[in-house]
Amino acid sequence: MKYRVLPSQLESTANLVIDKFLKDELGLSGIRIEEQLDRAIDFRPTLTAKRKDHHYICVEVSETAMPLTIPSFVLQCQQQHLPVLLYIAYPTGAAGGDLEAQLRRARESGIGILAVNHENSSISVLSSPLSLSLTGLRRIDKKAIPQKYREQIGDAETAFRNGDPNKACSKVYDEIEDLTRRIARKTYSKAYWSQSLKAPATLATMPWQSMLECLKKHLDRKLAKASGHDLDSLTDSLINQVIALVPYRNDSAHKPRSLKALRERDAKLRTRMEGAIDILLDVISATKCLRM
Amino acid sequence: MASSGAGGSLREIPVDKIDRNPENPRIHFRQQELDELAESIRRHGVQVPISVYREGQRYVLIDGERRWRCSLKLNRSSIPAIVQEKPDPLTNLVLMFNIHALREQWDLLTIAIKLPRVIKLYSHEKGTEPNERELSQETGLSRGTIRRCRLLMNLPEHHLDIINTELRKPKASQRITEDFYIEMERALSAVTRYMPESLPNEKAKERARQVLLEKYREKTINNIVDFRKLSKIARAARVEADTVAARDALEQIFDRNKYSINDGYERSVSLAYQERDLLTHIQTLIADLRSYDVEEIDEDVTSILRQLIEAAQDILEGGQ
Repeated sequence: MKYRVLPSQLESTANLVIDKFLKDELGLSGIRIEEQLDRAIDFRPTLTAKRKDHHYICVEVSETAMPLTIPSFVLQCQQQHLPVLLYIAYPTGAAGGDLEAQLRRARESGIGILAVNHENSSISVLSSPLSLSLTGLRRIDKKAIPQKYREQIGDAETAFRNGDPNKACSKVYDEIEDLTRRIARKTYSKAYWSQSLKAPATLATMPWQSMLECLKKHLDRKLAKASGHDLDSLTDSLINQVIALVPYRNDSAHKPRSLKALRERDAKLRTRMEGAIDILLDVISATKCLRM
Repeated sequence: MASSGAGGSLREIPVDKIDRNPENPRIHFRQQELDELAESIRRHGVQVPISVYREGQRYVLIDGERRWRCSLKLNRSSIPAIVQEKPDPLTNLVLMFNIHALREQWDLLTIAIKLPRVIKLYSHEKGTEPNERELSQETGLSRGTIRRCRLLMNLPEHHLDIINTELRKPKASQRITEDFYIEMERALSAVTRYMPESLPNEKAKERARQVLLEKYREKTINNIVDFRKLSKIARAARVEADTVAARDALEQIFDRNKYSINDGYERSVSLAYQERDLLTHIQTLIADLRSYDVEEIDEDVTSILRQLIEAAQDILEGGQ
């Protein structure tokens, strides 16, 4: 193997990672050494291979479990929505500095860790990586979310970071749909609607978009206010934002067929996920008086 | 845009078209240093151009291997470089020494491994082997460094491998260093010179190396400075110490046991060296006192002198 950048003392570690981990363990081929990953990324990982699902597997071979150059690489992958599963491989016994702190920081950043033992030519996976295109999801401030929704939103966030962004978005959309249907039923039952419906029971079963259109059209905020419920923040604009989510709610998840499609999907879903959570919080806040 | 001058032309050249110089003696690059330089280049770019010469369609590094490596790591497409004329083999190698050895702290082994090649190329070009002064002038290394390198150059191959393995570790966890071998080789040279019967041939010397290495690893020998005491034992005759006891101490030190250099020193020559040191101190003191004018000496000094006379009298009377 020809390394141009890697310090010579780490070459045997890199070779062991190629043979024992990338080839034997993950069954990868076409392993590239110190080559460009993407023109926009100013970092060349020591080893790179591509998985069939279009994710890059990158291994940075290092004397420490968290080299100085890694945080900016992680940030760039997040910004460029590059689906990279990054491992750092270090030879056991050589790691300098505070190993525990380095491992913790690596895990927090979604980086996998490989401890390479030269004495018995073995590799231990100390932690598994997350796709860096997904770990860029904005941190959700759990304290800002009402207790009732924390578990579901937390599950959605975990699903997103663990590589299932479609499922994560669906979980949030489910919450929004459930909440808006309850709002519609409650405001209708309290006679805050300007017009009565022929079959109010259908509010629970009618298509989500039709139900939202109905709510927007008939919700009378003055009537609500007269009864002590201030729904002024539940504006038509906010209901329109929810209506805009409906097509995404019905989007069926197809496996991306190329790296480009995967990057686009991850970028799209990250924006959608963040947007949907914002809308959910806005709706919760706007209907707080209804004690939903 | 390219600019040119007597020292070569300055231009931006593709990073991927550069190869490392096979004559660069530096074999170990510490990752921490590379990472720090990479971060600096990421923020400020390459501030000082590297130096290269052209070789066909590619370029070969003369100066700036770390900047080039970091630029590659940072996926840079080009790097500022001064493109020079291709040097002849001796100039190429000597340039490496002059550029690097004076500016960065190279591992001594790195230099020691390449010095024989400098000597060979020099001998080939000038028709005569360089002496220490000429070697120093050519390479820019001090004569002291060259002497230290020679000690390493003459080590058997497997000891060089041991140093090499050690150099791959982070600096803080290196134990069997070049300095260990330099101190040990100096001491073994002293033994060979002053008590040749203790190390009669190269085989005995190599066996002694192995034993000392083991004793250092298992910490029977604690400090590499202890090897200076080994030299002192070998020079027992110089301080009129018991040479039979010194020879016996060396024998035990070179044997596989828990006998340390300190043990041997204390049991053979320690007292003789203490006596010599005491003698030297007293002689120096007498010479100093004689250089003073009596009127210059104040009461504090005369009081201490009286105490000195009393201490000396006690010793002299006790000895009678």
